[in-house]
Amino acid sequence: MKVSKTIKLYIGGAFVRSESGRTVALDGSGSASPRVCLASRKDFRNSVDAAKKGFAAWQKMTPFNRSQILYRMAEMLEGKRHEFQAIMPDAEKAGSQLDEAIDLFVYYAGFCDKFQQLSSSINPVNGPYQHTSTPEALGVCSLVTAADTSFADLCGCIAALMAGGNSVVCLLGPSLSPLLGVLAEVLQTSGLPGGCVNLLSGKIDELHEVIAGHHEVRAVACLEKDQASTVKMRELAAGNLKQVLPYLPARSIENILNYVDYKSVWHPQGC
Amino acid sequence: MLTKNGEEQRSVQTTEALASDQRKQSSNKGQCSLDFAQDYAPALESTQMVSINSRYDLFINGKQQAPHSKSYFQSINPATGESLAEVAIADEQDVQLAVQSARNAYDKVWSKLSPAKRGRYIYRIARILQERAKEFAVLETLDGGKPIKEARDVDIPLAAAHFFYYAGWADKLEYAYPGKSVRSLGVCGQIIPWNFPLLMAAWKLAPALACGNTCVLKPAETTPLTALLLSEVLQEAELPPGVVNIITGTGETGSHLVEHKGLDKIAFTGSTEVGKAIARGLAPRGTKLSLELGGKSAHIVFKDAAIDQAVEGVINGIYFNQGHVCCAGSRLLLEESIAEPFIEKLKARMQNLRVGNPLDKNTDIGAINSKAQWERIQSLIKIGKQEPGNFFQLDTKLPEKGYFIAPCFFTDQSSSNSLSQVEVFGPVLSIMTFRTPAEAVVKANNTQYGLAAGIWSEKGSKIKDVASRLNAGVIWANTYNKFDPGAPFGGFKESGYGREGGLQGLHPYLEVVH
Repeated sequence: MKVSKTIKLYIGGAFVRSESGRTVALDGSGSASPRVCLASRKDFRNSVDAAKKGFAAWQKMTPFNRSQILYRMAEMLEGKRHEFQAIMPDAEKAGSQLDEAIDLFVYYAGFCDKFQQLSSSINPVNGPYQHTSTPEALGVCSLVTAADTSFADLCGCIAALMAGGNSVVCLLGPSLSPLLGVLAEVLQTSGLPGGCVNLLSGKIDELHEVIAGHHEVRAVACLEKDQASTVKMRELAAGNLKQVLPYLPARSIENILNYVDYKSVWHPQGC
Repeated sequence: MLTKNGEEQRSVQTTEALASDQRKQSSNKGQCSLDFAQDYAPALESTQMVSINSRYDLFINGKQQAPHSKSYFQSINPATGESLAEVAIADEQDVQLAVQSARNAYDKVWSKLSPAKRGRYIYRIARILQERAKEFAVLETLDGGKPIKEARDVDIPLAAAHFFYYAGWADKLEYAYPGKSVRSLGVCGQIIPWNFPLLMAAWKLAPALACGNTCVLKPAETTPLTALLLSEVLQEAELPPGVVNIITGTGETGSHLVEHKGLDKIAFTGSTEVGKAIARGLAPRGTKLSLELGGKSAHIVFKDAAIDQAVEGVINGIYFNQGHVCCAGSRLLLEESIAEPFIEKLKARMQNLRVGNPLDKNTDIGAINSKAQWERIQSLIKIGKQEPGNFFQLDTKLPEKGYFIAPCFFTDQSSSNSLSQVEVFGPVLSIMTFRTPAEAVVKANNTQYGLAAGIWSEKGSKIKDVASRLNAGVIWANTYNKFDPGAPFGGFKESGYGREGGLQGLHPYLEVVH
């Protein structure tokens, strides 16, 4: 007889059950099948609190350190290849999905300490001032997956947001939630400070209001292609002027620069 | 010739009355006073070089056109309360015409023109603006109430510089995005505020045109005249018809523009409240949007600052342009140990601020832009007085006509005071104290906004650290309210998104092609 576990949410670097006590069966069948916790609005708010702490810790690290941690995540993902393959729904595509995910972590690891140089400027102003513009992370971002979001896109989007210096609260839909537990183990064993990346499984219809409306969430990376749901999210996000932005399924600095703000600093020059 | 002799006479008297009043103040106020009376003879700028039409139509497809709406509104000189001209109100059909004209110009002319030629037109606009600078400055002061010295030395030169700067980008865009190519967006709808009317038009038009877009510009209701004069400059520059269309009107005209489905991009500068409504309205379409909204910027003065320079910076930060500045340093955070002497110095410095006729070259603080804004500021001052804290206002004689408010501040404020949270957009400063840099940062960041901040300290490492922890898009360290076409401007949080100015200011007007 198989022992099946319930996959917990990953909040603030800890594996926790939903405060609501809710779980759902992964395959939607009987009670003996594996289950996953179903995040509530309160779980989302708790995750944002954790992500704020995670953001502070992530910001304290040097870009070089962040780069090393993202690379470490690629290594840990590689180490859990078989575990992932065993639970990925499409066995045929599992290998290539993992290859791509690992590759994306490596790709964005390399950007952690480079995108600033590529997007900063020293501005030639009219007067004796030193004036620079540099990108800064937005803070806590939320990542919302769609029914058809691939594992590689999920990893690529997490990696891009982290490379920009943001912390992330991810909402995984039913197709990705079976992978939540193993992915959380990757995050936990990569030297990532708790709260930098939080994983929730839940229903977008229940949560889009709290995600878009939350004032501490500075942007939503929306992988959802369903127009109605995205529009709803944008409408709600307008209330606190957060942007609901796409993720380009490509290796691109734009995936980082969409999630930064430019800070411009003036200082007089002269003795 | 607008200002009648009688009015000039009155203004002269007012200024003299102000001067004598200031003399009185300096002798009355013990420690704040200077030991000599500073006095200036009135120095009124002539209005002769500006000819204001009695009526202005819409600028669509390269020519002035009467509005379909057949209705007009008055543009008021806020320093006298008198009407300057009547200006067309664009209705839905007029907006449609303007957008259609911009679309035609985009499809048939502007997008086919070589980038270098595009640049040439923008250079021409810059040059003509420079040549007609005085005319624009006087008109800006008449229509908006700002002191002539600011219109002359800040608004107009910066507007021309903005066109000049972006003109050069037109044929160099590929260098802005190494390894990628970019393309223009199409037709841009641009809505601008009344605090820097021509400068905001330049901030919007110059990068949009350089990136290859065509525009429909909607100036603010209370300050349409310099934008309409700009339409003459565009004609003089022989800019192809329809590349820039200027439609005047009320907020309703702006709504029609935002709701128009034929736009590829919307840029808005104004209040956070309206910015949110625009973002909500565009949600179904996903039209590209950039927003430059409100602020409640913190001005932090540490005890190791060059105090006299900091006093100057604080005065400039809040009282420049009557405080009608989105990035005004409207919250002053003083390190506790210097708070008392600093406030005394501030009061002393304020005695030398001259409030009065905007056309007088000596005037530091001109007229509040409109009656509505005057009422809003007064009601916020009233709220401030009802809440904990102390109030100080420069005791000076204000002109009898027009909308004027003497500069003022509230002390002993905390983050929970209304005036620490609500954007006043007037000459009202809110002062609070702090003990540690960490406390200063927490207090500075404690608003919905994140537009700008100021830091005064002679310690470089402290400035770097505090600057890195402030949630603000623009930080002035040991200076304030500096602007430049090469300097990206824009905010964090509810102060909006997107940048205007500099290399980063191209982004809102381009699509990066992968």
